[in-house]
Amino acid sequence: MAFHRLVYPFSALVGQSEMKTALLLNAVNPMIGGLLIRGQKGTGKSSCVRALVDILPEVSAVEGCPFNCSPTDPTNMCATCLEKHRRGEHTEVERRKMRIVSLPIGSTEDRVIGSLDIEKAISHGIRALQPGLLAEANQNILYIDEVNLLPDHITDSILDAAASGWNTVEREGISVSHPSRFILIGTMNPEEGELRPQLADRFALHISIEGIYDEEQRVEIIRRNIEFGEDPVGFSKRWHVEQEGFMKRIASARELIKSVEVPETVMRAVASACIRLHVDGHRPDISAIRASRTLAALEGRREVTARDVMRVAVLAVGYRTRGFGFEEPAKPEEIRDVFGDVVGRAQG
Amino acid sequence: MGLLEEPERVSMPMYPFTAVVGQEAAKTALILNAVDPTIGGVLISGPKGSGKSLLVKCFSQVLPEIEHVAGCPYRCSPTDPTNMCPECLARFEAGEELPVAKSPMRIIQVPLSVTDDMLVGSIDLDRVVRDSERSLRPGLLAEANQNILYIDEVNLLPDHITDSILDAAASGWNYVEREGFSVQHPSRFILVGTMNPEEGELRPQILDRFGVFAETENVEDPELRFMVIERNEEFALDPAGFVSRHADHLRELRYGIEEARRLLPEIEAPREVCSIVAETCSRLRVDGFRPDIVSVKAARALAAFKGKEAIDPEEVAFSVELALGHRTRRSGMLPPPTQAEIRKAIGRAKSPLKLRFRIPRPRLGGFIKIPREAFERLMREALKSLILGAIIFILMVASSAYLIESVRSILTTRPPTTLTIMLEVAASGALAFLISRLGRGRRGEAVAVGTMDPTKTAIEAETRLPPPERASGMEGGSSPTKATYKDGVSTTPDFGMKILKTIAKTPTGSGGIRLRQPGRAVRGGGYSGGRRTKVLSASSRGRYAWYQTPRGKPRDVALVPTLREAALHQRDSGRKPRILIRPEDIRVKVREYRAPFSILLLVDMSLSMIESVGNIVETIYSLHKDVYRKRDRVGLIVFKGSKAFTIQHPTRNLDLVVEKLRGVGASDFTPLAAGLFEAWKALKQEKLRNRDAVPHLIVVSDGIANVSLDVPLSPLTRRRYTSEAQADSFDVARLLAKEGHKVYIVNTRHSDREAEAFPVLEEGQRIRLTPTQFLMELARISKGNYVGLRPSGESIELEATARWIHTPTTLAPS
Repeated sequence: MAFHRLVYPFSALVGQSEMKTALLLNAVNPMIGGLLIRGQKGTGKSSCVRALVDILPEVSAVEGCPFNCSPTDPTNMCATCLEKHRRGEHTEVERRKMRIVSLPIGSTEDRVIGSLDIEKAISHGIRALQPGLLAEANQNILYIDEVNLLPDHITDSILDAAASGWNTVEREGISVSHPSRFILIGTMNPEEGELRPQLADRFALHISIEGIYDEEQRVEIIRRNIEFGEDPVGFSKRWHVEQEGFMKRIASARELIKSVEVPETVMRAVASACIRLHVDGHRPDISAIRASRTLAALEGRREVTARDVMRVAVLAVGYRTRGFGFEEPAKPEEIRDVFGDVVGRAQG
Repeated sequence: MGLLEEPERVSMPMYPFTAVVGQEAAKTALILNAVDPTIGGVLISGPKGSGKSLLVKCFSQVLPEIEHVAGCPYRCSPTDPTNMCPECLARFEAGEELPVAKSPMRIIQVPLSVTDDMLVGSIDLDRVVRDSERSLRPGLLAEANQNILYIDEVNLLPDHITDSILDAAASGWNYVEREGFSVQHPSRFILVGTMNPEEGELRPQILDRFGVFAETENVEDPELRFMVIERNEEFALDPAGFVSRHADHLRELRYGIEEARRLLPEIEAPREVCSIVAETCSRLRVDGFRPDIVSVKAARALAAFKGKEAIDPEEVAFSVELALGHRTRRSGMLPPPTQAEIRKAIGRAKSPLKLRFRIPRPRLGGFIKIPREAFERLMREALKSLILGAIIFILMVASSAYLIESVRSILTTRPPTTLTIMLEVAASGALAFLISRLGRGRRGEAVAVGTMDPTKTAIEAETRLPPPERASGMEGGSSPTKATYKDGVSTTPDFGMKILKTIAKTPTGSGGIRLRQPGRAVRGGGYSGGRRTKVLSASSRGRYAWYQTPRGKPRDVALVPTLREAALHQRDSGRKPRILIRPEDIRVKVREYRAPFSILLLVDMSLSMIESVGNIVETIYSLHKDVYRKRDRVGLIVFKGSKAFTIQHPTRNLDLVVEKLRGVGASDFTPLAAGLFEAWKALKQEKLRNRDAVPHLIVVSDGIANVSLDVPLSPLTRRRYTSEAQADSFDVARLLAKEGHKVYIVNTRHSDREAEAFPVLEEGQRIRLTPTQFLMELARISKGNYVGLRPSGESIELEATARWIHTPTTLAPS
């Protein structure tokens, strides 16, 4: 389970600072609710997400619980854990690193949702659940590469879980519900097809990355890549200090975020900007506020400033459908203009 | 007695890699991958019969040995922790010395009929039944770790299989999350694919996974062709002898590769090389960083193979060409760069390296041996250029002697310095060299010596002229799809859009399958973007989605659900460890399959239609996105003169369709009936090839049908109409309707006057129809839709359900 293989160090990735920040925001604050990265092939989307695994923070979970229940949050507990919690029983708590659970596009539904445990059924004749990826993903990151190629039936089950934070298994005589609250991270290449809007909406932040056309950076990418290919262990060691730095930053931001305040003026500004842009639903507002709050924490500040909001605006509002889906999503320039205008006015 | 003895079995010898004639780019690309497997594979594209598959298959002869952990089912690397399965990694991290085994690198072929289970891995039935234990039977992706994964006809591979391979190729890992399994294991392979571009193109996403790209060409030199035949004959008659004759070359090449692998870590990729590559790639706006990395790696491998200690410019140039030949640019808006473009971009990259450009000095063992015949030719060539050089030298000396003489006479006496003499010699030498080079360039693939020599490809590139329209279109930086093809007068500028809009508005049969206008679908207005009506397929194609209890005889049994069902009553059966499966336990797979459309364009190429060709081309290009994303296929049939021609069977390669359409040319007469008949046959065939395909027929004509079928389908119909050509067309239309194909009739010259004046049917009289009326009636009979384009540019659309030929009481539809 705790298999941890060597990946290219996060800190050694060249450029793409916006994508890196967006990923860090999610690592600091799981409540933000995911990230969708769109970009051309070969721009380092998948590498960046996979590299995140090394610097992820620790989470606490009930030891031995197959669903990775939280030991303190009663809204995120399976029936057994909740029962114990109510009775005030002591539960063993396990601290462990947050993980990235990959959902390959060839997955079958039984592995995603969970199904009857065939071994137990044959040898003991009992109906027991073999937890699926959605159980594993609880309190972790669920990563889907090429998310736009995911078959529809798998998408539907993920949507269900993502919306409610619960996964319900009703099949083969098994009826179990368990928490499944995960950070959904997806990467896709828009050339291959668009994403279903319902699924796209589950990703709180959207980012569209482009290739780097700066010679210096490209040279650096080539060199580091070849270096890592030749001596992965040595390369990782050389970047150890930077990696530690990231981990410390995340850990302290996680502490700090509880005391970060969002001024009323900022909230009003975000709300009025979203109204002006005609974005559907309230998710964009909420994610914009949460993301800017996290950004402040990540940079060691206790108050959200207008600048924070400006920096996350495109992430939170871009690609959102507008006007009940009849309008095209807002362009980054438009979002920046509206937010700049509103924020500027709020500050007077 | 002796006769009954079993003869010793000799395995069929393999055609030697080094005996393959020509195709040097492909050979080099393969060799580079053997030298450095992290280059990531090669895609070989070329016409049928150009030796692609042969080359890959016999490539295994020169592959090096690899080290792997003994006893590990995934053949993990014993030293590289990024390429170890969980067990091996645990042992490695515990400081255990992993047992090393050596075995030759193998070629694992992915058959086109491969299933998800076979590729990714599936439940091991034996173990379940014998030990009631769940265990994974590793799939092809496990076998391919540290090996070569070879896909023949890679462009024909089903989508869901391609996706799974993509996933593994991108991350180097195979994640199995199927049928109750959760296993991850390394799957780092050299992806080798071959394809024939005539059969369709590859998706850019999968194209990008191939490290380098090489094209094979038909050998056009008669002598080389002769050599191909000769060697083939030789090999067929005496395979063992042939192989042993080439054994030396093979050994030499294998030695060269091994030597290069040893040398590789010592070759540095200096800053200058990286910056040439980076500058070239960003100048060409190539997507992603993979091309940069691959170029540098390939240049290193090439330098190592040539036995050099440092990378020289010619390696860089050659490897950039290999690495960029298949990559789309500017977010897929631009096609891959041509050789000339690449050369130009490299030339522009300012770099200190250019100053020390050297002619490569071949090292023995580093080059594929020149075959004897070719060697003789080479000698002849060399002799010729030598003689030529000598003559020029003499001429130069003579003329310069005269020149110097005259100069001297002007500047008064001063003897020729050694410097002037040296200059003369150098100049004449250079001229001789140039002339000999030009001679070689004109001959194209003349001598096989150029095997690893990038300069040769350069000369070829310059002599090969790019198609004019294409080049000019790209110079402007515009999209190649529309701006480039502009002949024919646009009578109605957005003809293409109009057809598609019509089609988009028209629900086509049951299940709500519709052809959409490509482009971003806006939500709310009936979202269909990115989704295609699912067909729950009866054939065993598509992705295994779910299972169900079988109706009728079970086929395509879903094993795990069946076992799960059976598992519960095993204890009752009392016959452990055998498993008892009752018939009611059996579950069959339900697969999800997105049916592609087969769009067949039937185009009237009579002289009266010639001005519409530009519009038709645009129509075809407007289908572009769907063809890429949804695997739709477009075919083209034209009719002119006295018969119909199938120009292109349905393919995904639109460029090909357009190219052919533009080459057809028009002629007199319009055999519409023959065209429809041809289309009917083609669609029938298409249905046979792919049972789930949804065929569409788009007929583009002006309705002046004037050639009938040779033999009428039904003589009765001919008696009802004045025109036999029209009568025959109606007969075929009936056939089309019977098959249930969706038909769209596009009239390029719709006349409102004609449409309103349908003839009134009278007893005992033959019906006379004008072109517009004829096409409308044709749409009605074929149960299709009618799109009329008015001369003003507007279009009208009619669902051909109404009856247009009227009895005296009814009126024409408005």
